[in-house]
Amino acid sequence: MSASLFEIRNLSKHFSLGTKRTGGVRRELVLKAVDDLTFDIREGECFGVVGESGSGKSTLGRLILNLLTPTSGEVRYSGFKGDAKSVSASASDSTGYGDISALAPASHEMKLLRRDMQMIFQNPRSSFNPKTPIRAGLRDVARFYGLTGERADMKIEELFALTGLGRDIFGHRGDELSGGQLQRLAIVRALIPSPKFIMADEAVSALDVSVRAQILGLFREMKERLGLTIMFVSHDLTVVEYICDRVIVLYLGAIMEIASARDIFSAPKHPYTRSLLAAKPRGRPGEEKKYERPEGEIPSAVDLPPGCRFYGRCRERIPGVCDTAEPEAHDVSGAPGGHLVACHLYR
Amino acid sequence: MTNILPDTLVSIRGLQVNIMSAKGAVHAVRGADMDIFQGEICGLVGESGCGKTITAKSVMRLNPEDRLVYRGGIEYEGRDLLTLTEREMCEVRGKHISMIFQDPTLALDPLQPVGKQIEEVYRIGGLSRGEAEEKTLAMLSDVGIHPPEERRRAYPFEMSGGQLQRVMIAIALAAGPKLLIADEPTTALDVTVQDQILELLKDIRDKRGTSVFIITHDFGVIAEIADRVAVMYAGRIVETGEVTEIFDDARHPYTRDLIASIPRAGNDHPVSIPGAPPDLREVIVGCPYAPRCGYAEAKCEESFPEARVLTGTHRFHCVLDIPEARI
Repeated sequence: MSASLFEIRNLSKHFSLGTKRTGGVRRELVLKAVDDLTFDIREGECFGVVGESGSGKSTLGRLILNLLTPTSGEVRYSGFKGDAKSVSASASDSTGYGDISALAPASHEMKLLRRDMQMIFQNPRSSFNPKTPIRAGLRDVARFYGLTGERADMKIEELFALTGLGRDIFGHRGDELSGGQLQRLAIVRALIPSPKFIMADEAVSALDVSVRAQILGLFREMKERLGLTIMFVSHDLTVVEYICDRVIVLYLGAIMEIASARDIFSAPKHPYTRSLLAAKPRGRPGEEKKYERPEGEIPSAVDLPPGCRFYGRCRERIPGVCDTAEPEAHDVSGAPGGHLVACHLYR
Repeated sequence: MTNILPDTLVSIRGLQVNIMSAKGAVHAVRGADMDIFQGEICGLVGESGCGKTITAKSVMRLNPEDRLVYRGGIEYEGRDLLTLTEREMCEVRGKHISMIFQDPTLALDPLQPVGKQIEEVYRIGGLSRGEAEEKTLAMLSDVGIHPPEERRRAYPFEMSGGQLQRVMIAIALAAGPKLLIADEPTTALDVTVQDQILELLKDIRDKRGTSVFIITHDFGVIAEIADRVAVMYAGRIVETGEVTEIFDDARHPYTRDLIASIPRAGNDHPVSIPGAPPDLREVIVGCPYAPRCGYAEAKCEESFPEARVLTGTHRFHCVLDIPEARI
């Protein structure tokens, strides 16, 4: 098993929604977008994050990149020793794991660390200036990371070759390109500072089927050829199954299950994971579905009841147990890598 | 349904749609032929820019008609919809054919409670306020919005994307159409919600006998609910058949490539189709897929291939006999 790139420890992000008066008592309304998550992201893996809208996937991504400051908990990164002087561009010469969430998001240290961690968004059209010529825009990014002149152009051409883009689009502007071309450009832009970690938030969800396959192939290549670690956030289980090595399943901000992609898709344990799989399109007509669909829709993460968050929709709930104590995640496999499940059925 | 010859509800014959634009005419639909049968779920699948939505909107006559020319015909109950006046078409929309879209938030009035927006359809149909309210409650419950008495007072911003799509379906069904056109109805939704909406569409077909014409770029959705499917490329139907025929025995390379582009674990690489669909302003002489097709030969460039008929339901437009499917 390879070393961890990130160690996420008891990470929470709660949003206060003001107060509400019920029966004369003033209560604070808190939305627990991410609630006490502990897990590792290992070097060189593609780590999938799945769950319905509102399960906290995107908030988690933003917390890891320190684009949001957590309410509590740590995001420990292998390339950061914990004090500002030790910020280094390479993880191999450092041993400690410093908590990057303690850094101010706009601080100098954080800016240096951001070379290591880049992000790719869902809609490439809204992340490019429609009126800036492509090469000029990429040169600006390169300059920001200290690459100028010939070195910048060489880097850009190298990445164009990697992503299969032609030099003929250098003079084009963002609004003249197709969605697939723009998403390749987003990848080029993310790779300019030679990062170690890519956060892809629904990076293929807005693309046409044929283009989606091309971009997925590119993600695999990035992982294999550049040794990148990728966090792949998606609600599309078909895509996650195809591309990810390990998967975390989130529901209302909490971990339901973490395991290898193979175990998640072929031997899921948590009733929530099973019901997500029931909703996955079959791929071929008439194929049998193995699991039952969940009841209803995801509730709000405000004012969660005690017990398991999935209680209200779970088909295997045990009254008196599941609605009283919140289950803790524990290993059910004993195998290397582990298979964590947070469910009372597996106690 | 297999042995009985189903009745045709809508018959599209030689449909061409030419749209005038500042940069020249766009030949968006270039001679499409297809049927929609009574009580079936029929899919239309293809990449963006292949003419799917324009074809669907032609059936509803919702395209910007001051800027386009139709040729061919769309026959429904003995009449050609393309020849009807706007007033006659208003009688067809809603009562006979209705449509739902990808993004329900754009189609609903944000300042009206959803119940009012459904009631309006019944009121236009001539019912009294009380009758309209009663029907609205029953309809909300039919499309899975509970409890209807409470939820009908909700404004669109108080509902989730899945619930809004249910409201859209309620509005579309209120006047009792025979055909419901659904243009990418689940593309903006979560997996679990997508699955629920597809179940609802099946349920509507089973309980009401409404035909459903579903437009999607995702063969996964087709596998999930359709009985029959038509594959569209560059404004033409290149293959059509029952869903099992298409999945087990696709004959057109484009159909194969689309099915193979669905990622699956264990399969090494989903096939990515090189290039992009052609610019529909251009004149295309031969098979429009030839430039992207892995099997193309010189004869593919000559003319658009004639239909080849395999079974009563399965036909395709390709001059080649490509090897057994590897899917």
